[in-house]
Formats: sequence, C-alpha cells, structure tokens
Amino acid sequence: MELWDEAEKFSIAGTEVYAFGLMTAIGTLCAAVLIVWLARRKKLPAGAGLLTALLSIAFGAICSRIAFCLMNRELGFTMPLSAWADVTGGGWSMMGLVGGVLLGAWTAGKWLKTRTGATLDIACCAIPAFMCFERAGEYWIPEFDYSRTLDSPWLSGSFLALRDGEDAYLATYRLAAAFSLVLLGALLFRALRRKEREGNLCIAFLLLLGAGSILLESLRYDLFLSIHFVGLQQILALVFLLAGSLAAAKRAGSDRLRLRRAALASVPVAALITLGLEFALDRTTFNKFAIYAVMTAALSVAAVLGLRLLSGPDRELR
Amino acid sequence: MNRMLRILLALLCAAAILSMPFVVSSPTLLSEKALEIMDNAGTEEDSAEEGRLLDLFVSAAHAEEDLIVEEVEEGAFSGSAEWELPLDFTPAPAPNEDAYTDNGYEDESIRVSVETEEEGGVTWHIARVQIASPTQIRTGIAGEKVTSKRTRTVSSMVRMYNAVIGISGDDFVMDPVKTSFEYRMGQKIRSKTNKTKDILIIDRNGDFHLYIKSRGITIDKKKKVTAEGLEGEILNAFTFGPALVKDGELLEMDTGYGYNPNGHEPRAAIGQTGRLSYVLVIAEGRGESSGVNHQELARKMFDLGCVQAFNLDGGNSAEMVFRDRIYKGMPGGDERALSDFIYFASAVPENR
Repeated sequence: MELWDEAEKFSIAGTEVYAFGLMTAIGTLCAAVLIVWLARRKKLPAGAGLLTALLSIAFGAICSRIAFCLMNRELGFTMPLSAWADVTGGGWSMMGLVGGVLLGAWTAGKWLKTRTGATLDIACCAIPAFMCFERAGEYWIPEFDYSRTLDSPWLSGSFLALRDGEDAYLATYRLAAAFSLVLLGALLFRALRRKEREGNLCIAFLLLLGAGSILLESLRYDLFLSIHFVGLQQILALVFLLAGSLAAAKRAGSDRLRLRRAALASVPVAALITLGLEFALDRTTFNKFAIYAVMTAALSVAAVLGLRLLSGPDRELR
Repeated sequence: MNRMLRILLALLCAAAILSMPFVVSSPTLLSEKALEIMDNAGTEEDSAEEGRLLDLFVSAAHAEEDLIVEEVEEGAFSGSAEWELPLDFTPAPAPNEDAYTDNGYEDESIRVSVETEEEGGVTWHIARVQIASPTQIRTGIAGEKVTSKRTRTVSSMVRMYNAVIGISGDDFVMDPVKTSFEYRMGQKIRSKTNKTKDILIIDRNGDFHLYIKSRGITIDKKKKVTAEGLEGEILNAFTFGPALVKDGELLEMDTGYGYNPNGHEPRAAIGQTGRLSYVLVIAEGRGESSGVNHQELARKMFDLGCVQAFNLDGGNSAEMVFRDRIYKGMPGGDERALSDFIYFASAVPENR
C-alpha cells in the first residue's frame, strides 16, 4: 500500500506504517481491552464488551471524520463530498470521535437490550486511554498542536515547551496527553472504588472532558478547526459540558434544587467568560496568565458543581 | 451471544485496529491532500454568496479623477544591482551593522529611512525603501512550507530571514476562504479569486499590480492564471485590501468592504512610489493614537506619493520591524504571531 510521502513513518519488520496511525492503533487497542475488562467486571452479558468496543470504534471513526469535514475551514467549512471517504490524506476531529464513541456504546447497549448506562460508563472510561496515545502520537505531526509563542522564561525552559530557533511554544499535545492520563486515572478510580449509579461515570466524563478540552483547545494556536479566535472543537466541548450538567441536574433529587440551579447557570456563565477572554487574548494587552487563570476558574466551577450533583451517599447504587 | 459471534466481533476489532497504522496518517489534512482538494474544487472565479450580495448593495471603488499623482520620477537611489537574491525562501545575507544610521540603513543595494510623525491625533510610522534589484522585495513565511499553518512574530521572521525591514503581510493562514489568491516567492498557495476582495500582485520586476474585487484575473479550466497588465509569472500575490491608490489615483473606499472600513483602527499598508521605491506605513490605534479608517489611510498613502498602495492586515497584526525596533499598530501589547510577512533585504554578500 502506498503511503503519503509527507507523513512521518516507521519501518517495522520491513513494512512502513504511519507513526501517528501506529499510536492511534495502540491507543485503540488499550481502550478496547479496557472496555472488555470493565464489561466483565460489571457483569454485562457475554460479548457486550466486544460489541461495545467494535461499535465505538466504528461510530467513533465515522463521526470523527464527518465532524472534521464539516468544520474544516480550509475548504470553507465543507470538504467536497468526494473527499470525505479518502481518509488516508488525514483529517480527524477528537470531539467528533468522542460523540461517535458515546453513540456506539449506547447503540451496543440497546442492541443487546442491556444497561445502556453501563455500556456508556465503560466506553467513557476507555476514551481517555485512547486520547493519551493519540495525543502522544501528535509528536510526529509537524507544526501541529502548539501554543502561541511563550514570553515566560520558566515556561520556555520547561519540558512542556518546544523550541524553534529563538521562539518557544507550548507543546499542547503533551498537555493534552497528560490531561487524558489524569482523567483516565480519575475515572478508573471512581469506577473501581465504589458502586455507582450506572451512567454517573459517563456524566462525570462529559463534565471533566468538556471543561478540560475548552481550556486545552484555547491554548492551541495552530488554527486547527477554528474560526477566528474560537475553536470549533471548543464549541463541541461546551456541548459535552452542558450535556453533563443537564444530565447531572436531572439525576439530582428535588432536595438539591439550589445546587442544580447553580450548576446549570454556571455553564453558560463559564461559556461567556471564556468567549470574552478568548477575544481578549490577542486583542488586548491583558496578562495571559491572568486570562487563563480566570478561564480555568470559571470552567472548574462549572465542572465541580456538576460533579457535586453526582456525589453523596444517596447517589450511590440503589 | 454465542462464541462464534464473539470471535467474529474480536476479529473485526482486530482488523480495524491493525488497519490504522496504514490508513490513519495525520489528525489534520496533509498539505499535499489539501492542495489536491482545493485545486479540484473549482477553477473558475469564486462566486461566494457573500460576494453576490455585496455586489448588489455596495458600489465598487472608483477613482477620483481630479486627484491624480503626477508621474513619479524614478527613484534617485543609484544602488548596485550587481547582486541578486534567489527567488525562494532562502534567507538574505545579514545586513551590515555599520550601514545602520540613526533612522535608517544604506548599503550598495538598499536604502531605508524610517520616521514617526503625529498628524491629526494619529501616530504614523513611515518607512521609505529603495532597492537596487527587484529580488530584494520578498516575502517570508513562518513555517517550512507555504502550506504550513505555522505562525511567528514579525520580529522573529525578520531575524530568520535577515530582513533589513519587514512588515506584516495578509496572514493568509488565518482566513483561507477569503484570502484565496495567494502566492509567495513564486509558489502558488491558492488560486481562487474572491469577488469581494482586492488583490495585490508583485511581479518579478518588483512592480505592484492591483485588481479591484479581483476583476482582471481569470483562471481557466486548465488552472492557468491570467492577470491583466501582468507580463510574466506572479511572484507574490495577496488577497486582503482594499486597494488604496491605483495607477496614481486616490480610490474612494468601499464602505462595505470588510475589516471595519469606517472604523478608526490600527492599520498597515504598503505602497509603490516608483521603480523599486516603496513605502511601508503603520498607523497606531486603539490607544493614545486614534487609528484611521480606510479612506484616511488611502489619503495618507496618496500624500506620500504612492502610485499603487494596498491595505494589509491591521488591528493587532499591524506591525513593522526595523532592526530591533518594533512599530506596532497597537503599542504596548504582545506581538501577534502571523503566517507571513513582506520584507526588504540587502543583496550585498556578507563576506564582501
């Protein structure tokens, strides 16, 4: 099979493979193994793990590609239909993939007439494992997933920075990989530590991924899937955060009305704050550290309030 | 679920995973693929919906006939054209440190003078440049290839390319749909015209050619580009604008053009005053200096003697760098990283 010259490749046993593709394959394998293992732990029907994994891979790939084709600004936000199927030339959306995986997991649950909350939970635990390897694989993609030039000397000299001549940039893919690892740990800890109402892990995943991804996408300056100063993937991440918050609010009892209202209100407030700060980043002289500190705080409040709705002894498995 | 079905599912998963190293090349479009798609997407003039609507409601720019600059005499700079630079992205020879003056630079191939003036509440930074060879007016890109989305500050690119003086370009990466007709150092980036935007072409003689709303540029089915009045190949082309002065005539600005045409903003512009003679202008704004609108910028370029002048990316992108001096359209803030810049270089070899 003829591979594109431009992409970075490895030679394994005399066969050339894409470096990025190899990392996504390893990530997918880890995620699939995790899904199967967690399915057994949750005592799902035989084959549920495999079906969830397969449908997650299939739907994830399809939705990732569709999202990229629709959001790709190079061609006016819509690639010609003739190019959609030609995936070898590159082009994938992480947020689109997440949406596809969730759809695949839900479909698997429905198909097997089993607990869709459980299939969603196990898929959400596995996604960060995939993301970790995928982000690490971006190391082999030149001029991709990096930040604005750094002014701070201590950041410029850190392991998170890339140097290019005189300029230093944050390798935001490393940050994203680290975030995925932390998210994986948090979700697995939650999954294994105690019995939890099915679906809660999925909601927690949406809250944490949504808030974290809005911030991580803001750090990027490679204009990937963005329009002016707003990343389109940030908008999808906001949708996940909002969906998580709504689902958490729905699950919380009527005795937590104040917390529900606060959690729901915090999402649009965080969104507006983030939008304003994104505008200010390149158009004002405000200190960038301060901007990102405020953004982090606003998004954290939204995520934490949503998680609070999921916690408490009465929220555990009934 | 029976055992056979589970084995089948496992095999399908394995097949999907094993195919990924051969199929999944990159999270973003490979540049070769992107160019292939864009080239095949259409070769005729772009007929964006926005363009059609604007054509209906907004009058095109026209010249004020009573304001014509008299024919500008050719530059008095009698530099040596003994040395020529390659027409690619090779950095130029480093400027001679001894050739710098308080407000300028002069060696055998280039003369630059930079001044700052206050006029009507606006701070203007004006650079006049005269070169001996057309190969000394050049463009630089932030990345390794013209298809790269990499960005850098203008000051960084000035050092990278050994520019004597540089100015922000049209940041073509930022808006690929609108900045649709782009060439850099003879390499085509995109060749689709946009009826809502003016185009500047710099030819291999260092002369400017302006095309209002892309009129005069045609691209046939074989993707051959024809530009009225242009002989030879396109060296550099920019889609931004508007054109400010064309063929010695001050243009009336289109109030619906885009880029906040009537607002007082920081602006950047480049103009040609004669053979191998140019002007670079930065108007400060959004601070103590009030900024200018398109018409005021056009008037300034006309008054500076430009026979051709073109608006470049303004706002926080507007920046000119001469040696270690950074003239920003919005002083005080960080430099914005951009995809490209226009610069003038010395052609005198370093070890001369």
